[in-house]
Amino acid sequence: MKVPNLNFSEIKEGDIYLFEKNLSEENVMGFAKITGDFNPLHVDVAFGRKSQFKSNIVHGMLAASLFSTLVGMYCPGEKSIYLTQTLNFKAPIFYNESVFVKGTVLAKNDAIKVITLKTEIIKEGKVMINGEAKVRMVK
Amino acid sequence: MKRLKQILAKILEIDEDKINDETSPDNVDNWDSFDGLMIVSELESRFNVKFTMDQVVAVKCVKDIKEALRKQGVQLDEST
Repeated sequence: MKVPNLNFSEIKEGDIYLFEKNLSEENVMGFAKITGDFNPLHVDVAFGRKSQFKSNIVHGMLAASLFSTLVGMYCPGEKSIYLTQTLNFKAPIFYNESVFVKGTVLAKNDAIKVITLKTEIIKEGKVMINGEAKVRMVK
Repeated sequence: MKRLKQILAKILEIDEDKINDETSPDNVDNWDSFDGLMIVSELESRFNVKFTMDQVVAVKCVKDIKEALRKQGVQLDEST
């Protein structure tokens, strides 16, 4: 995928950027290996069945890492420097579920070339994770 | 002023009572360029104003921030 190279002036308040991603068991295991987070709720099938969720769930931070993809590959893309990201984990995501990653441009700070994005992970119309990102755009 | 102090205190992670007109990057150890960006972004959002690059560059201390806000029509309550 070609990395977009949006200019600050091309981004408007209210603009929406959206992509879909399936979070597979392989993704979960890969994330566990990279981070060292082998919490059984994520990787142990028997433990997951006995849990309050009745199944293993995807690491919240794995799903939230898709906000990095949103910023780096959709808006603004090549010129972005990720400054901040808040996160609220509102509901669990299970193996092999598809989610939509949505970014809505809330504000633009012209003087410092910073955009504020409302960031959401959405499953079947329900917000599973949300937060706010601030991204600086460089030349 | 209290609202401004709240914003600055949260971003700079210092007590509100340590913030006065002379507070600046020169006397707050952790006031770095990142905090500068956050301050501009938060002030624009909270006070519904837009700064120019010249205004941002001209700010050297809290007194300058207050002056920049007043020029944008923001009324700051000095008594609180």
